[in-house]
Amino acid sequence: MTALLSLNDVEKSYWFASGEGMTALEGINLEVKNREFIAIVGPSGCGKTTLLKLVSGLIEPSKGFILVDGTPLQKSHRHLLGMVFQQPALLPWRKVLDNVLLPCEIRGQNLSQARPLAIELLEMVGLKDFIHRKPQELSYGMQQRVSICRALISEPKILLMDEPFASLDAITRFELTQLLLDIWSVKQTTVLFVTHNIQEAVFLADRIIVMTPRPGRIASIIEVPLPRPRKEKQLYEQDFSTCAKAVHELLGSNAL
Amino acid sequence: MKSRWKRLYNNEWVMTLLSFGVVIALWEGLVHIFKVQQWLLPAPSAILAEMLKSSGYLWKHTLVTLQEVLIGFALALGIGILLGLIIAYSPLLEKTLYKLLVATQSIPKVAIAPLLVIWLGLGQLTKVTMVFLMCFFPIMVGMVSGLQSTSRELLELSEVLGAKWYQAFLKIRFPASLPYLFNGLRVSVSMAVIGAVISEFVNADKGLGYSLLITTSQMNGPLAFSVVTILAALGIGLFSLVAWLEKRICPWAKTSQSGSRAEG
Repeated sequence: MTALLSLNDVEKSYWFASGEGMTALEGINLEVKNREFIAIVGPSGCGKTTLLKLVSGLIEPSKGFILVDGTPLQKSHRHLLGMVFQQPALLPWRKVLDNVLLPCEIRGQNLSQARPLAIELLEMVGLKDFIHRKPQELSYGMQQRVSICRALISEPKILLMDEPFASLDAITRFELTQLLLDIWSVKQTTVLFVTHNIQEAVFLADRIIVMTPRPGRIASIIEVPLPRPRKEKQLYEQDFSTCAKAVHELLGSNAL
Repeated sequence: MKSRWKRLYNNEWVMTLLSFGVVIALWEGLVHIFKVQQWLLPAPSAILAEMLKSSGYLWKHTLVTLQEVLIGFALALGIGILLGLIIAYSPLLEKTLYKLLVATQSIPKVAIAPLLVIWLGLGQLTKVTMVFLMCFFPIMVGMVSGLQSTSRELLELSEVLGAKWYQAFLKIRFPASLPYLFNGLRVSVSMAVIGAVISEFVNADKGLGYSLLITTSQMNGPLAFSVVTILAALGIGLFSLVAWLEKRICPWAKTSQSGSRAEG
């Protein structure tokens, strides 16, 4: 079976006006299976975000190639992608429901068909009573839920999440982490989840990509042995802390 | 009872009107107490009486000035937005035209007023141009910075969604730029009346600026103050209109509203 997404010896370099170059990513080899949950952890400047941008097609690799379903990544693959950022990045002049429907509008899809799905998604994240509110009337955590719905409305095969919970307080953060797992098991998408938080990575992922900076490389890929569905009590079990410790040591040995 | 006073205190309008009232009452009182000459400083009541008496005369000149202001402002709005759009979308024009326009802003526009008379003559066009010059720049800057400030996330999102440039513009960038545009509008609308008056000072045979010159040279205090009152009212009125529009069009922009105080 071919991987849903495969990166082959991918490198990304930037050139500054001064003529100097900077290698952000080097020698990235990665195969992602369908419905897999991948977490990417690493210190700042290790190219985590660059990696996501490469997969989303926003930037192109300087070397190597990326395959989606066995064919080279191209613009037509974009409808397979959903994106969630650290900021909710909602449009304040649109109601919650219309924010979720934005991708359908831009892609020229039939809105009356998409609307029931949007409402269903908002119900799933617990925002049923807020669909006609404006984003700024919602809390930050609720706004981030809306932006997850916006990413899911086009039923993406791959969900790209760039530190989506980094700006949330610890309690909201864990709520959303659990919610994300629920969504993932229902929607059966593949997730690439960038984070700074080791606990979050272990709790969520099937595999954790640990990266090191300057130039960004994959230091190791760790399989998370915890059974699913994952529950809060697992946070305090031996397997969990063993896995978290392993990630921590990999990061620690590479100058966090 | 106490909470009612507190509510009045917290009401922005009540306090604003109250402070106006106090100032006017003090003015009225002091003028009478010290028997200040009318040509020097007329009492508010005398100004009001004069405004009613000369309403026809004042109305005529107000219309002239208001027309100059509105035409000039409308031109500045249209051209400012259009140029702002082009500059925001063209890195070349941003490096050339935009920088050039920014540089010309260091010229005091009052200094150009006499030159405009030479170039454009004695008619309405000269005044309208002056208003335009005063208003145009803040509007253009508002438009440019508004369009350039679209968040990185939204730009990436629209790219991944495969949005055409006009979709990204209409659905994301332009609406997102409106609070910035309104910032520019609020600055420029307060300059509009100033532009018209300056231009009328330099050369005119009608309008409020002209009328102010004539009445002060005749030492007609009450009439001169009537003109000043109308000018102030025009400025406040136009500013309020813009603020009202902003509240209607982009209520998510919190910049214009003074924050409501939490009850202590």
